[in-house]
Amino acid sequence: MSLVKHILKNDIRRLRVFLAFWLPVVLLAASVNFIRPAAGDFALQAVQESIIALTTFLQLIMMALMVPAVMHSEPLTGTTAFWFTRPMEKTDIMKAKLLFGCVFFVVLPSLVNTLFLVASRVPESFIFPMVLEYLLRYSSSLLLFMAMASLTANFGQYARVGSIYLAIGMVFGAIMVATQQYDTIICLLPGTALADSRYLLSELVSIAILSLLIYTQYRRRRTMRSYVLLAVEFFLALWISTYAPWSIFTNPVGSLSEKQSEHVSITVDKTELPYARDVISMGKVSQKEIWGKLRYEGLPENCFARENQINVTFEVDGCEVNKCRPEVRALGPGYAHIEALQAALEPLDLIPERNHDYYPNRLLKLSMSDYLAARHDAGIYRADISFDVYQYQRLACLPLRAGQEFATARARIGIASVLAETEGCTVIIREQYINPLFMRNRDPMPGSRFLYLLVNSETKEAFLPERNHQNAMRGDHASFVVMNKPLQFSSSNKATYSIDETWLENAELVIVEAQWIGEAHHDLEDLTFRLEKSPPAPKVIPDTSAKDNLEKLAAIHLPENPNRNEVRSYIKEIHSISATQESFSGKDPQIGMLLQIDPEHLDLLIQTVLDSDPNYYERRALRVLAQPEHKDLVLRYLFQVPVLASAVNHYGWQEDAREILLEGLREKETLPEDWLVAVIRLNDPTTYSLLADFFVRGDSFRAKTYGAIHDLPGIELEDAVSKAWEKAQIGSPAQRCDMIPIALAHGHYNALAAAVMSLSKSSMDEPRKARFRESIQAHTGITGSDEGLRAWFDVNKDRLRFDPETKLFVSATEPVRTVLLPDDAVIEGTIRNLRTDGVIGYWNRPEDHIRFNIPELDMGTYRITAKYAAPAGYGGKVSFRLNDTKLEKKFSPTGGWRVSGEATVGDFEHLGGSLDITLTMLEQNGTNLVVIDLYSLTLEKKQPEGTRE
Amino acid sequence: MGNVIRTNELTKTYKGKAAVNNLSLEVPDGSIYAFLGPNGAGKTTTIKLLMNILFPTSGTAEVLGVPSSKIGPDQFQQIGYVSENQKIPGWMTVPQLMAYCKPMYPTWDDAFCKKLLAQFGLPNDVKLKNMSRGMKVKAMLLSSLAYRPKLLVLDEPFSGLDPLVRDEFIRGILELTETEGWSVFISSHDIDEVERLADWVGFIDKGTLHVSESIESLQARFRQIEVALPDGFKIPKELPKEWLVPEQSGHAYRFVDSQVGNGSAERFRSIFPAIGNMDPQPLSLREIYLTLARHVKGAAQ
Repeated sequence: MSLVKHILKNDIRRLRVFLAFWLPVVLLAASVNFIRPAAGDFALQAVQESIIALTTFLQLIMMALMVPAVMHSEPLTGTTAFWFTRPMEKTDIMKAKLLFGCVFFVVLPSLVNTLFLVASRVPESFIFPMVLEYLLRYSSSLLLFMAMASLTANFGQYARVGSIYLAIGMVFGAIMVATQQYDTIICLLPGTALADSRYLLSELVSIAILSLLIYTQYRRRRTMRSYVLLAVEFFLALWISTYAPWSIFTNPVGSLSEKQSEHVSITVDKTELPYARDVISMGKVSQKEIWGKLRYEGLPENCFARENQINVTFEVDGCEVNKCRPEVRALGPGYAHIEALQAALEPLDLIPERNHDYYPNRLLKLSMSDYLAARHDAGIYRADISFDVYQYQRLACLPLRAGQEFATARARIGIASVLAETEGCTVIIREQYINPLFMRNRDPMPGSRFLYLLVNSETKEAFLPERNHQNAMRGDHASFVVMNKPLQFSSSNKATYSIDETWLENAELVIVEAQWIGEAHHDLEDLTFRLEKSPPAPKVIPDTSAKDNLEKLAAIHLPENPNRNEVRSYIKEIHSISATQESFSGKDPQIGMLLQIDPEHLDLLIQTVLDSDPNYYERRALRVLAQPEHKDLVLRYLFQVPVLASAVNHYGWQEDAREILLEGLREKETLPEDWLVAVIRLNDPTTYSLLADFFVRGDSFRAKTYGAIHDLPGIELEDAVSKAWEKAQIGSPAQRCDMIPIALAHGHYNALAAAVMSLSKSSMDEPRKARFRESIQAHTGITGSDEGLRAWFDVNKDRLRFDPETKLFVSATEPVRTVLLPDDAVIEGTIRNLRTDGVIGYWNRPEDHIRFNIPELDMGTYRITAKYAAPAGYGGKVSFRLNDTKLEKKFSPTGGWRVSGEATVGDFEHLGGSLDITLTMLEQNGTNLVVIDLYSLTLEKKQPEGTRE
Repeated sequence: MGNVIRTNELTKTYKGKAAVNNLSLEVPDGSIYAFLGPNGAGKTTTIKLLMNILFPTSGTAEVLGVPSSKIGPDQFQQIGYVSENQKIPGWMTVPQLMAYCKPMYPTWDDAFCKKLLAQFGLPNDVKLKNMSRGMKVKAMLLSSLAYRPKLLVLDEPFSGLDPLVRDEFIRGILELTETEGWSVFISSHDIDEVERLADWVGFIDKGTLHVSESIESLQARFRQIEVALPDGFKIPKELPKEWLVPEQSGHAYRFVDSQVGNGSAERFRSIFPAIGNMDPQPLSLREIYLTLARHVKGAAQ
């Protein structure tokens, strides 16, 4: 032992400078975890994270440098070492080197890290397993470096051996990626029973073989044999860590029952149609990937699914196009399945962002030639899918105050601070996650185990945080580091919601966990899977009609007794030629040509139009060709080809198509009139709300929709018309013009005003003027010329009130309307009255105000509306103080500074006398801070219910 | 008198080529054995085989009565080894080197060490890697002498040393061997260095040992002989194998007889019956070495 100590002391003396750097690095690596940045000090936290990463890397590098320095003072190779002819037992040297390594590179860092665990209040039951993990990790690194150093005489040789070792590992990894062994690579990610088992086994095997190598080398100095051992260690450890089938750790046992999993069905989500993406290799597109989304039905309550493996085949006309194993993308941080989360939060309303839950899957991968051959065809897509099922569960509800904390066995979450903002707040939480190797929670992770929501139990609203990359619980498996994370909750981009001071007074932070409940396995078969949408029709010369294509059309012939391919080609040719046209006629040859197709080939015509709107001829042909025997076919494709609703109506299949029809109302923005007719023919008042919603939502078809539904018995459209009118006012001119007669008919004064004003606009086309004229006359009883109508309006505008029973605008004895214009305003600050434009603008400072005063206003209830303009990105919140009443309105963009819209601010009670109105900007908006340009304010006295003028 | 070193058909081959080939030698106890040979002859390989640094392909070797494969700390405590190729711990100073070595040797003599240190004149505060070659060799020698080894093995110790240092070195070894009775095994390719030092000599070339005996015996049996040839005398093609490096210049014919006194007269008369006198001349060790070297080279050609 004395010689061992002698050699050890010599090594310590020799490496004292290195050790003088090593010790502080180890201490720093542990102590940096003690830093508790103040909530909000993310700069310091970023520095902390950088130091943690740097010290981890630095420790490895320093070990890689110091171990050979220790070993090469008494090298084992070559013939010139000083100690070869000295009375030194090789085993004594080995013991001294191992002692040095163990003390400084295993025990010391393990001890320091253990002390950190204790100081971080890690539960005792986790400390021992964590120490084991430290020892395993440090020992394997130490032994690898010692083994390499024992095979070499100097640092140059050691570096060469190490580089070769590393290079072979990288080549192996590159081969795995190039041969697309993605499922193997995914299994390498820590956290699963198999991956962790592989890691543990490979480490143990490495430690055993490397120990044997070092012992052999010290005892016998058989360097070539020791290199063989090193190679064995490398390949064995690599194989075990990548491919070994043995699992020491157990997979979790889920609670998902067989019955529950059988109840699940999977389809390709056709609302998110598959799309193609290029795979580029060596500068060329070598393959095509088809991406899409899968829909799961029948999951247990509050559950969602995530695929973990998909095996697919794709057949077109009985031929298998390709068979491949697509990857499954891991869900990223911040993922939330909105539907399941909403169910878990009942009775709260989740205020989602659209992009929280869309993560596409690669459904298929094809060679370029297969893709080109099959791109326009629909085929049968079969997938064998394994998926994990997660259930959202509310874990905790923390009052929104700093210091509130929630802890589970493995995680500690606390609120560090709450920062209120204008339209939201930022909550900074502290997270600590405890997950050592030997006691790891091996549930598959859905991207984010924990979700945080800002909730108000009074308004029943729940907000997800703004999407950012920090919104995941850090899954570092052994870090134990307490980290701050900001959660930003905002209502500034959500038009009808507002997180303000009052709202925050009753707010809480809810923690929801996505618990893994089991794995299941299902097959999927989609009979109409298409590789992509049809390419857009080529844009050529406008105003092209069939006359310009007669020659081409004449060249197309359908053979006698054509087979399916011939029919398909025939249809596609007609489709391609017609795609160049801008105008269509019932007398064009294409209709007749399409009607030559045998009805038994109706499916081919449907497939052609699946991904794009059918053209005029195809719509006509579809209506005619559909026969009673096509019922199943029609119902199957109805959702994707809405024009088939004509067949539904024709053959009375409404009840059979009920679910599809209603889903279309829910999901689609545009629908043919036949669809609405089909729904109406269900004669079901429960469908009215859907019809009304579609009317509000469908920007381009309101007139038609209204026409179809407005006289349904018992249908209430007041609210829908109000919403639609408000949307249309800031929509396109066509949308606005469509809605004017409808809004006018429902008593909207500003629709009447817009109609009257439009009569004198030269830019307005005559058919529209005619509709407006008709509507004005119908709802005022006034006839005459446009000038006469205008004159009547100017005289009576302040008194006009709508009588809901007679559906007429009548003139009251007293003025019912007061309009305040820019010239009536008193401006405070730098706001300007742009007299030539008739608008108040350049409102860009929160300390500026616009004030109006009405010296005498009758007592009553008034509705205040504002006419304004704001381009995209502007708009914002304005406060209206009307004497003691305070209203707030969030103005949405109208489309430009010269595009005006009207918005209802709200109703208020006036007790009579003078009225002071003060407008104040509540929300700074963008760099320019301008909110809106104000054209006018209108106060309209509301008629008490039950009274008539 | 026993042997401190003994080998029996010691062989070491590398890729089929013999670096040391059937080498059998004996180094008597208490002698200074010069192991001579040109560069690449196998001297260092032989020494490494003896020191258990290399492992023989076949044959055996014994050092201090112990098979070389079993030489361990006990034997190394009695062996001092200095080699031109040996890597020294350059980061140490001389005192640190002594402190490093001392615990390994129970016979370490501090006083002797100090005496040698003073004698060698080595600095105390300079790292070995910053010393000249001569100082390094002295430091190595110091670290190998301070414990009074029974056997001193020196592998090309004079290589690169200037004459003054070399001279000091040789005188130092001579003094110590006289007073301490150590055995010295010294290899070199330069005969002049060892001629003053050695009492036994071994000559190796291309891995084969050609001579291993005392200098006295060697010098006794080697004689140079020169004769004047009669006119028309033809030298036979087959000459006695004891006659080395024969050469003729006109009527003068010269050769070295390596076994004088052992039937050398009969051999002479059988070749030169008409010539009466041989007149053999003694050779210096250097001349004997050169003769042997030329003989081996000629045989190889």
